Amino acid sequence: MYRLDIWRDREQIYSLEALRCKECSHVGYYRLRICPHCGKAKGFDKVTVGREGTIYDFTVNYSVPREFERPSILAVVDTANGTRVRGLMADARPEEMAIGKSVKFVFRKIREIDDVPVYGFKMSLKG
Amino acid sequence: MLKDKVAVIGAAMIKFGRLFDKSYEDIIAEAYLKAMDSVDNGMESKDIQAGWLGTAMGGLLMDRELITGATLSYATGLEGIPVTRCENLCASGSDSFRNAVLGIASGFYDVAIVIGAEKMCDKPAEQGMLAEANKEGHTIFNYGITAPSIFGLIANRHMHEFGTTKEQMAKVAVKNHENGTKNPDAALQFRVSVEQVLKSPFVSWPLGLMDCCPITDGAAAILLCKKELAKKYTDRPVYVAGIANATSSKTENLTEFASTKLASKRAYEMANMGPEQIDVAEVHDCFTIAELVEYEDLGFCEKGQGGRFIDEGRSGLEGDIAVNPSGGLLCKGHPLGATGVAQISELFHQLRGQADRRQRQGARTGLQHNIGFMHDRSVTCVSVLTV
Repeated sequence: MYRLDIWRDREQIYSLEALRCKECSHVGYYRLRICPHCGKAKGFDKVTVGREGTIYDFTVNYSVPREFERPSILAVVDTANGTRVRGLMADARPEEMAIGKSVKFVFRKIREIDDVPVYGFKMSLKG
Repeated sequence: MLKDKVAVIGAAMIKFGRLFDKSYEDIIAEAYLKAMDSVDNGMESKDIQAGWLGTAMGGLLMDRELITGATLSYATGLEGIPVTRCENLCASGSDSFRNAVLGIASGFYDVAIVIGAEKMCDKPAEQGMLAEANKEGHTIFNYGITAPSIFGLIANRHMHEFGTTKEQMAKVAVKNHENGTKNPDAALQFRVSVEQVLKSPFVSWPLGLMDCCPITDGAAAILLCKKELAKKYTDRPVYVAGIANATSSKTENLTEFASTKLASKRAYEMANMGPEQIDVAEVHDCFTIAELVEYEDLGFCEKGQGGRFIDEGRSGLEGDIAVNPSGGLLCKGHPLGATGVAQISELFHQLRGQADRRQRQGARTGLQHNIGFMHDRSVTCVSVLTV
């Protein structure tokens, strides 16, 4: 099974690149032609998500397919430039998790597809 | 104006559950026959001019990505009628209904049928709903996301911002299970206590198993016609006063559903009513937290007061608004495409005073709410029905 979305979205995934709308300045971690916030197609400036953020929300998911760590912790993180990013936590225990804690983005193997590893970012608690 | 131009004249759901002995075509046929039987003065199949079929996840759940509307006519014997198959996440059934209402209100059809059907139990969960985590959507960005995890995020943030408690969420399950014991078509028919809900194993923290609706098969059907024809079929038609669909990708705020706020505003405006006029509501309680957030988004209470609304018993059968007298998704089950159609079926019977032991006394106005939420986008359908 080929997954070309990884190649198309390589800058977003591997450079942690977000888009800032030239019209309304809304920043989103997506790859779109038209700003979903203001509906204008004035183009975007590429901005970095940054390497760190603060936990806005999280859930501890015990009900996941076998290939996942169980539990698998899903976090939503706000970074300094106002980007909200969702991702899996690495090396975190459920009891350590709390809204407001600081995290850093880390480069990790996310999954395997047909025995080929797929890399991306996860989030890890700081300190 | 669309208000009151379309009447619901028959509606039914089949008993939801793990229907291993019934095929997709079987449950479509069963819902069809049961809805036809519910028409007071009877209806002939040749009266039906068009159909809509709501099924959400044929590919992942049945290995049948291509469903086609022709499956409705094949399974029901309604040979030749035009049928559109509708996928719109968990609101597929409601959106099928909305399109049928528009078809009749436009004057193009006189009588139409809506069937919602979903087979969710043929595969084990690991290959079915759980496989959303690794088979559905983007390789990286949607990896690891399941339905309970989305609502787990919503629950955790709602608790953080508004002090909502797990006990308040549990009370939704307690209320809906009490109602569910009075619904012979519900998949789950047993009472639960707050303590039992709190002690149920975590699915996606803070949500436990009893905070989650069960995975079931199911189907439901609705017969509708233009209002001038309604009295031919029944002395007690139910009218569509308002109907709306709203989509949203502004899902960054995890304590509200923007699509629900928009859709309900549109439906209330069309019906020229507000939440204070609603007697009975069937809302999308896929998880307990969803019902609390919906009290707020539908205007039943102020933002952040959903927990208090259940604490004060205001959504009980005798409360301000009887919410989910059917037992909701938590007890009926949530066979995606069938869900919205079954909600409308419940309101059809409530507004005609036929809901037996779960009847909201004197109900004259009902609201139906059905939301689909996937990854970072949502779609909500809301209907307001009256007698």
